[in-house]
Amino acid sequence: MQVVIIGGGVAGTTAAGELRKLDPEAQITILEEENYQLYSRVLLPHMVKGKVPRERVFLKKPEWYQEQNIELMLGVTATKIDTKNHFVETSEGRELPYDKLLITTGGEINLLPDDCRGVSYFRTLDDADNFLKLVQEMKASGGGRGLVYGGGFISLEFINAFAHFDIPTTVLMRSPGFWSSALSEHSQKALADHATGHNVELVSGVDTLELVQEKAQLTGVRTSAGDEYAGSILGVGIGIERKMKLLTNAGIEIDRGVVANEYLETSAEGVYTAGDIAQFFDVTADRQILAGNWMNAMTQGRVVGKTMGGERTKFELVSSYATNLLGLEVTFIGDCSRSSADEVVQHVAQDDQSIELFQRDGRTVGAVMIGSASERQAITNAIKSRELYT
Amino acid sequence: MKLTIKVDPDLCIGAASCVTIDPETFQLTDENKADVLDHGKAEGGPSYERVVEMTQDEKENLILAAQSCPTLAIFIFDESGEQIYPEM
Repeated sequence: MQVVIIGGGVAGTTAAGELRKLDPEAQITILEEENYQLYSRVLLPHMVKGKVPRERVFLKKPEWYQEQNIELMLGVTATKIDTKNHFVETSEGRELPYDKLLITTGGEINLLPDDCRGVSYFRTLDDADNFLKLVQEMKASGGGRGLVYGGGFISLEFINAFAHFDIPTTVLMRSPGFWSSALSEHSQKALADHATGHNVELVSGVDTLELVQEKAQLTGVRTSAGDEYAGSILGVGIGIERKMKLLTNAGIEIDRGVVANEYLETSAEGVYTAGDIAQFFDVTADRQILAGNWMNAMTQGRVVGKTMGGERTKFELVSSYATNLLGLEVTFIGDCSRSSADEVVQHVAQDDQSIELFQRDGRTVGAVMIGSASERQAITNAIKSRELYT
Repeated sequence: MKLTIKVDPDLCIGAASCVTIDPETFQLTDENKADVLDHGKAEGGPSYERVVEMTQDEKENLILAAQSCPTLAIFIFDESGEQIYPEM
């Protein structure tokens, strides 16, 4: 059996390992766009802060791929999928035939239209390396100000990183607050108060940003309202997009992601999907969802690897993602879509604490927690067992 | 076999994948950190480190839980004190 996996992140690599356990004979090839074996994106903030050395972020050694007899093609992308004739065309011009194909291409970050020295992203190991270099240069030149554009997960990582290096920070958000489309006003206020209490300047409702440069080096940004903010590093976290170009007209049903059932099987025969790109049927939420977190991607990789290896396994998980804003815990559990919920209940509303419960069809399907995590397990259990958490 | 299981709370971000895979060994504290349990019990109070007697099956599940940690915050040592995960 020939197996091609597009994407060597945690979903694709976990699937390859799981498949190998069940099928010692299969030819397994992973196409990976980046030039690294599997590493943990979740460890990048720790690496930037010096909590772990760079080599520690790698979750697999190159030897692992050899031992497992998995061919890892680095710096290679898929340029075409032909589900009729069962092959994948690579950026190197090769045609790889497959019996089974796994799509784990994840998401790609949204970029600013312009670029210059000082503009920083936080998706890849190269991004993290680049950010560290910029910080070191800033420190060597006697300091400066950090700017952050965006109000989601990546924005928080930049804020935390700047704080770690004692770099004063201004955050510019397009929306009225952190995760404004996902969180209640109380949750947003708890986060905003916490940030401003730590001397972070918050500017909301920023429409577009123009880079202000001097000799191709960032010196600040200008908003569409004409306000200028000085800073020599701009951390950009304005969301992720699932790139569908490769998948359009490939004979695979797509929507906002690659559509799959609860077994992570797509509409095309022998084609599977997992991780951030998968728009799968979530048996707990009772609807198609997209998830973008580590736990989901890893577990889907394990499940789909089993299914591809002949042990058809249903994917069932209440996944969660936890991060923090300058020490204030932020946790998303299950299905936290406001538009898909019948009702969102503000279960706890204190100064530095907020719990929102997403209820649908008389039961709890998701939750956002800010501050103490003491109810996290109980809420997760209620979601899992389809109960209404009160 | 006796295994020493340690969580580094400085690395733990509360992703909770370990709790999902091995709830007998890990639970979350109010601070969103993984605590080590001995077969579901926290004798002597919460702790980031515990020596636990395990069967081979339990050990395999524990390793799976440790491997699932996106920040590699879980460390496992065998009876001789050798670190068996993460592999050095």
